[in-house]
Amino acid sequence: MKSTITAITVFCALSAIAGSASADDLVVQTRVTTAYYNDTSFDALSEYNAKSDFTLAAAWELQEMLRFGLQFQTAPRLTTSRFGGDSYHEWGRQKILATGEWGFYPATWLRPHVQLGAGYVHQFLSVESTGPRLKDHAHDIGGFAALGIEAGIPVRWGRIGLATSLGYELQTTARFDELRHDRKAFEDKYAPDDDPWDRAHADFGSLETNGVFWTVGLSVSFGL
Amino acid sequence: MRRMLLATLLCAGATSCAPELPDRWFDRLNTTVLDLEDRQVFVSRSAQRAVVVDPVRDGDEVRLNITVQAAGDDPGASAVAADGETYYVVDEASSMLRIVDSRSGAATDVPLDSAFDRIAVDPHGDFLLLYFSGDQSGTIVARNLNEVGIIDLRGDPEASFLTLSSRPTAIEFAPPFAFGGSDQRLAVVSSVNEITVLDLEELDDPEEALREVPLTISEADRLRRPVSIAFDVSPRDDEPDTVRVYVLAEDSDDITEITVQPAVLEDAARKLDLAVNQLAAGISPGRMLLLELDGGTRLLAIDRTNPRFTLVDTDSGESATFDLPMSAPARELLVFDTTVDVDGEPQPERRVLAYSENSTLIAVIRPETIAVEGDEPTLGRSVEAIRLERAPSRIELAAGQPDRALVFHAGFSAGFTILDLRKNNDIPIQGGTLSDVHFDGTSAYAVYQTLANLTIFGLDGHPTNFDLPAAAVDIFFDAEDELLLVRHRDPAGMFTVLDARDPTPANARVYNAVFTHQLLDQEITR
Repeated sequence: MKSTITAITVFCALSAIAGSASADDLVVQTRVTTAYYNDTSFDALSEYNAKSDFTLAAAWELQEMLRFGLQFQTAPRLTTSRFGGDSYHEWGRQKILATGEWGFYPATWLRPHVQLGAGYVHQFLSVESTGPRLKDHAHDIGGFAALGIEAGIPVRWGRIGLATSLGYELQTTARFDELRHDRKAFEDKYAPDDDPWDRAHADFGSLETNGVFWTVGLSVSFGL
Repeated sequence: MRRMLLATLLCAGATSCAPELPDRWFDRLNTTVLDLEDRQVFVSRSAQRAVVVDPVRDGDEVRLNITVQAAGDDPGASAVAADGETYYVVDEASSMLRIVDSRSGAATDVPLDSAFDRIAVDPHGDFLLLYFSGDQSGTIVARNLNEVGIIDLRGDPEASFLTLSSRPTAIEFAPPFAFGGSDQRLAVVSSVNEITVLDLEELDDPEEALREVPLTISEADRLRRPVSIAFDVSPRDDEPDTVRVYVLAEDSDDITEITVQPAVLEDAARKLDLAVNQLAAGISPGRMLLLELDGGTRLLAIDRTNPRFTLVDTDSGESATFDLPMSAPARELLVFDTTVDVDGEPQPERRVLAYSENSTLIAVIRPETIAVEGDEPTLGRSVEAIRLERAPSRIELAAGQPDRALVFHAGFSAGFTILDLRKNNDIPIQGGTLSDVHFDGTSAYAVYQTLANLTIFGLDGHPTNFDLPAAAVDIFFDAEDELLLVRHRDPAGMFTVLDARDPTPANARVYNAVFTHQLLDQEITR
């Protein structure tokens, strides 16, 4: 117990020294984020229970300790065929999250950190069989918590390095209960005239995307 | 740096090592339709679900209530119960029979021990019999093909099992009857070369419950499969406690008559006495009907090699064969009731419609007017012909609409034909090929295989056409709400609900992806 307290004290002292040693930085990161979803609702949309996204993040680093920023996460839409081609699904997601991060430099090239984020999640789903294409958008709130480490080398204008993190992401349940008839696609394909029919919304159910994720990517800091 | 990149790639590669999805996700979304009283149930083996669709009227609006009900991990055989509101599904994964109330979704599981893939439903709602088709697809560990599962629905449903001496191919239930004042139920199980009379009141005693009746002298004889079975449970004055079962087997010139009576002797070994008799039924009968006529009970059999029919008097056993005014042997028989004017008064008369897909001539037989012992019936009086524009593929009698039938024709743009069975004439309707028709008592609603249209026609055959959003597979009618439900040719389930009183787009609503309704909320397990 005593050794643990000593270690934490040394750790915080080093952080304080490191934080006071330099000015603010602008940090830009590009990462690949791979999340693992065990909820079976994801089976209809992907062959695997993993989903990789491209993440672009920018943060302001204060006193080499705290970072506040924004990150945008997206990926090409997943397209899947289910039930022997009787139902085609296309799903995509974008996230815009505000992030906060606390970290320190035990060595000049190493930066362990803790990261929290929360923000807006947009999802798109389309379903198609031999009939018209149906589509819906879901608007949700998501967030995450992660532990990470950054390793970099100082360069003339700042620092360049690799970053990785492991965390857990949460999101409110996405309801795809208003799949609408894609009128333009339908008219292009089936009928050039106005469609006189009242087409009810289709309900495809709820999607749960909570799970563990890890990221790896490039981190570039610009000294200000 | 190089090591870090390598580690990154290895980690990224690990993401593709994911568990495989259940195979059912990749099977076609085939559905079996169960037409309940005022709703329809579509059971899908691959989606492991039953989707209940219920058209409802909500003020001026029409809509479709869609409910997903669990059907087990491997739903196989399914059937509608006699009450029209309950349905049965055999879950082959757990070897359970699910008895599901379509309104509430409440289900009762009955353990079967075996994954039976055929269901025979008692029209009177007392029993359910299950048996095997012999189909070898899928993984089969071990099953007794001669076994029959019996569920008595009069109390808490529980399965009992009996092993027959041969594999069942079909099961027919006799209507309820009484012997000596006590209620009796019988079923007849068809097998190759024999039938088994199953006493459903003696299930605890297999010796008593199963009475085999061979259809051949030896198993080495040529195969004889029963093709028609008929029951006569009407009590007769001279034989009050007697039930007769008539069996016509393929490649047989005779109809087997089985007389069932309670054992006469007090110390008889069996509860029932069975006596077997052969009734001559022409040269090569292919199909048979039992007719309750004013002059007595008769069997009518059609010849499968020539356009002829034979009438058999079941009391005397006498028979007579007559020609049919057709260009090919009749394949199907339909019984209908009509009225004839006798001295200015309408009198009911039972008639039989005989047709073949190879003959443009169809025949209307008036068995009441034919004396078995008498001469040839006079064409144009006892047997009348109707010449169609095209040969029929099938004929449906108009439910609730007397003296009308609808003739389906094969091929595209073949149109259809309305038959006036009172005047014995036809009304050819030129147009698309029908996929389905529904009669509601005053009108008929027809949908087409390739045309996105709905046609309503009345007793006079006058058609009124309406648009649909796509061609249709079948049409259902909700009499309570006067709504039409049209299923379109979409494997994921596309339906249109229409107001039957004015089926225009303004009074309709289209539903898509009905069979995948709330799919994300369901776990596919196998």
